[in-house]
Amino acid sequence: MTRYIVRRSLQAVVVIYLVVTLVFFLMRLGEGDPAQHLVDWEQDYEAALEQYRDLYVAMGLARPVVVQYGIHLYRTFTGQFGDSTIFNVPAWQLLGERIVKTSQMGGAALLLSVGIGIPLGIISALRRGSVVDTGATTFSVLGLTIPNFWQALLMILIFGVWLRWLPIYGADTWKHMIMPSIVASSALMATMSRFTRSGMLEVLRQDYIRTAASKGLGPSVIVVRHAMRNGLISVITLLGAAVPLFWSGVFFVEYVFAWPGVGLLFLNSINQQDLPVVFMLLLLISVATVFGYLLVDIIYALVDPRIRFR
Amino acid sequence: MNTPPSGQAGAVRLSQMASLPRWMRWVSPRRLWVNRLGIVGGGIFLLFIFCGIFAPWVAGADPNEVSLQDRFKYPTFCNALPWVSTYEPGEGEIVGAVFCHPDPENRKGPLGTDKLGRDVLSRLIHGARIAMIVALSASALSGVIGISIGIATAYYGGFIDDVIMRIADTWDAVPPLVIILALLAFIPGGVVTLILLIGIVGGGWIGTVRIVRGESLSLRGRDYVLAAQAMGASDRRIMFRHILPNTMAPIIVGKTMGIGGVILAESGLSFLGLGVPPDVPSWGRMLTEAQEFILVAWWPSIFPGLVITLVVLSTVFMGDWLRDTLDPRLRGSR
Repeated sequence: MTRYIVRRSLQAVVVIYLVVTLVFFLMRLGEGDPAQHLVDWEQDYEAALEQYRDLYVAMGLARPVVVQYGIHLYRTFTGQFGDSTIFNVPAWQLLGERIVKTSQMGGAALLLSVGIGIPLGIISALRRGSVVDTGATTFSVLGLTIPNFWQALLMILIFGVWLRWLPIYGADTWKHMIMPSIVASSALMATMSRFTRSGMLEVLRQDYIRTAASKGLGPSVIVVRHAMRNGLISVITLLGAAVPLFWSGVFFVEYVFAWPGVGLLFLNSINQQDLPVVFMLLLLISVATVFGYLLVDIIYALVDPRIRFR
Repeated sequence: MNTPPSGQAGAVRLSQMASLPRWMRWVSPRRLWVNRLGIVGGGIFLLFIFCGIFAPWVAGADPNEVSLQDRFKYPTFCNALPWVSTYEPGEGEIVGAVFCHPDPENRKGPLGTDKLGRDVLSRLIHGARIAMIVALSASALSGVIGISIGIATAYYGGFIDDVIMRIADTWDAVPPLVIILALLAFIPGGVVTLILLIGIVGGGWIGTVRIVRGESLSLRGRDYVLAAQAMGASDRRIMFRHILPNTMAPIIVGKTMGIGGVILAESGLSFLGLGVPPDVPSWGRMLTEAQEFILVAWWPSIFPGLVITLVVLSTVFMGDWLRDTLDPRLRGSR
């Protein structure tokens, strides 16, 4: 088991290293070099050229690419991402409050999708073909086909404009969190209920469930003690695949509701070409994703003893 | 659920008689009923392709024609619903809260007009054009890349196979949307950029590589492949003539369902202001522009989203149908 965890962690480190390398080469893929983006070309041309030359040397762009790559690696792993070109503070200083905001909203979304998605999946597996089942299946198809930005607009229109129950943007009170977290959870909730349903249906067919029933155990005991334990294993694998789904939800939701989190910072930095912040967040999100997968794999191995650690 | 309507059972048996031509069996009431979702989905999708190709003729009004005195005109179907609301908004009141506002003099767009007085329906129809171009090109691109790499890995195996599968694993580990967004920070956006980004960076080809590779590995030991080998067929011939055609069914199904994802990606990027250029009418951009004025008018933020959902749904139905038709092994697997 320890060996498995160590092996998977090493794989995760390799992936992160590849992302860092990718970032380095991406910086050189765009038009011009990174220094060019920092110079204000609107001013006097001679002055701009002067400024560009200074920056070019100061940023180390005059050195050989291999040396630059080495410096990039060193800086990245010691957390020196450079200053934000918009806010003029070190990029990491922009994170603090925004990470808290994103975690609040994301955490609420995760709780919602687990808390509603899994029970919904279990109920629709137990009452297969019933109205609840049809409803849940339709809901899960719609949850994945309705783009979440439109879902957000619909909710704003219904609950913000027509009913006037909830504020339509911002992040001041708990009321502001209701719509963003519901929208961010919907795709995940849909997949959760779908996977739970198929996992439970798979298990409920098994012989040991019939044995339990013929022993005279009540339906609730069978479902909770026998069926759920095995039926929900596939849901854990799903959690890994859900990480990208989660991030795309975060971007759109934070954009629509002006939720001041990491996703909105990322989008604003992209629009304003604030490259140090973009690359820091790219790395941060990749690391979060890779470790999300790692965590899920380890939990999966712990929960399901049938997994052999190769 | 899948039972045919009663009274048509006789027709079913008749159509299953071997003497009838194949296409007649296909259009039997039972088959049509079983495949109803797929047929509806395919129909809707074809309709959108038609709208995309013939947009200027279908739409009528110019999608970019600005007419400021016609800003935020209610959809004309409101004129047919005078009983819904004749409420006149007071001074300083939110106009968007009024669902319908009949205005007999309003002859502009059937689905209303937007913040610049442009016809919403016409913009939707022209939006289909860009959505379909991006969706079909990006899917085709990722399909071609996936098939080529998949064949290469299965054909050469060994080291190349290892390297490519590791690359695919790495690609899976980072959300593609994040990388596409980061790239758009310094690559100027545009239709071609969008197609390349979604087709390549979007990672749709990885699934195709896995399918081609997996199927090829499992087909390689089949008797008919051995027979072809025994008859002296070259590796290349076996790969392209015997193995690849048998991997096509799952690829077509996967790509069909993938089209929905590409449309979501394109409209999402346009929604974030990073997609197609501003002068091209696109569904995602229509929604962003509508959000600014959601307190004033509801229709510009309803119809584009409805259209996106409809297209994506139609690809899902179509994919399900194709899977059942092309790959009977998977029938009823969901």
